[in-house]
Amino acid sequence: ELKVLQGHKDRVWDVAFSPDGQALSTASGDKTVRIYERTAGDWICVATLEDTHRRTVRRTAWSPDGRLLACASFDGTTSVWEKEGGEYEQIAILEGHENEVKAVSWDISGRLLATCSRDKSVWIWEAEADNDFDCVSVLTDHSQDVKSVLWHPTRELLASCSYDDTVKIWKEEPALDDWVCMDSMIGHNSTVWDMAFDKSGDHLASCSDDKTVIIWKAFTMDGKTTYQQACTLSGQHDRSIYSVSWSHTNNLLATGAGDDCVRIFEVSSDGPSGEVSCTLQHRQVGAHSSDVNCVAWSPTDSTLLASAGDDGVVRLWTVTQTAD
Amino acid sequence: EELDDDVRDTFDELEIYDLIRDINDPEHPLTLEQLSVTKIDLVKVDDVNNRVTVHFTPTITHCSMATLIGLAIRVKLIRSLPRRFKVDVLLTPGSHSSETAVNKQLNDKERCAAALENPHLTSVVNGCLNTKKK
Repeated sequence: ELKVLQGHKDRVWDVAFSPDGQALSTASGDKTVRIYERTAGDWICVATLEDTHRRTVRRTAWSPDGRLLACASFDGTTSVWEKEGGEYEQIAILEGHENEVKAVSWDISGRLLATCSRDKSVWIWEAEADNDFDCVSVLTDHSQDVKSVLWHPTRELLASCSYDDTVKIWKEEPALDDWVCMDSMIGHNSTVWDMAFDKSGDHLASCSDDKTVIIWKAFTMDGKTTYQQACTLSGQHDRSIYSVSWSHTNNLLATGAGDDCVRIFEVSSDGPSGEVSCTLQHRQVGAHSSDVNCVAWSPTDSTLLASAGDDGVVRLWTVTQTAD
Repeated sequence: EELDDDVRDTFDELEIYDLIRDINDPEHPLTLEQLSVTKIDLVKVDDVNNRVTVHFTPTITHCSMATLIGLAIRVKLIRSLPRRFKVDVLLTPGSHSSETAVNKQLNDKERCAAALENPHLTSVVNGCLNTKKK
């Protein structure tokens, strides 16, 4: 363990690294977001975004250029903040969901933003000039609470996961001038809490209340991409799995679960047909003194992992891979 | 020893049951114990592994208050027990027409957290938990 970041007055739901790996944002039940920056090898809290959200801030997401931060809240809104000369200034507030916004994600271009809510919908927003965000589509195929949304790392494909136990993939259909559901992936037996793409986007990991992680592999045929179940990780977690993070600097997958543990798996994709397998590398028992709500790999430092928990703290871990 | 935080308090079924037996029913001027919604033999404690499982039995199988009763039990236990405990609150099997749906909602921590940020719901739950002997 490298460092404990304290300061939130309630459970911490989310921790997210900026694209350059030099900053991280944390979201909490205390209705605030804290921003830490890496300074001389240490992590210092440089800002607290407060007095904007009236309820829990559930998730945060950095734009690909690292200039903007979006924060999704149980108050039904998503705020967008811009870093301006060391200060964070709120530049937009996205309203429209009927109730709790659960997640927010930027696409690779930074032009599109997706949000999802307990109101069962996924909204796609387009950034216009003058910090204006227009809703371009409302996707209503999920039959329950949508827990998370995540853009593909290289393409304009959106993934969403839900209390309805499915993961769905969305794509813009130019002929219809709208977004459509391309694939609805059935495999989990309970709420799907979180998802993570590998660096290429050829694989997607999803984690669930059913205590499993499923790794899905992309197949593209006639321009249509579908994901098929390639590997199921079961028997490893004792409680709901709330978070999964796939390192984009190596082949490690981390999970955070309701059994207070952080686990690290090595994913290998071998053989002519690219069979996927997952091996437990490390299990950090009692990583937090309560549920682990989020794990996040640094996008630039392959040895750095952050975790956030119901115990109100964020922990930074140094991960050293043992040589085979 | 009572004042020493480093001493681990152990809990048994009776102590857990004592926490929840006097919770008021949201609809009746009676406690969950008086209505036989909670019973001591529906409480399971695994102190070593930090697990508490409470089953409850609504008075009727289509009880619309089942989620609220479960939420009140959960809130009471979370407020009272050390954080080391993992609490599961479930309907007694066969006791409700929407058993799976109610159990799923009650054990979704995100839904419970959001519900407790709703001032109306919080006041109803607090009403149930106001267990001063009348």
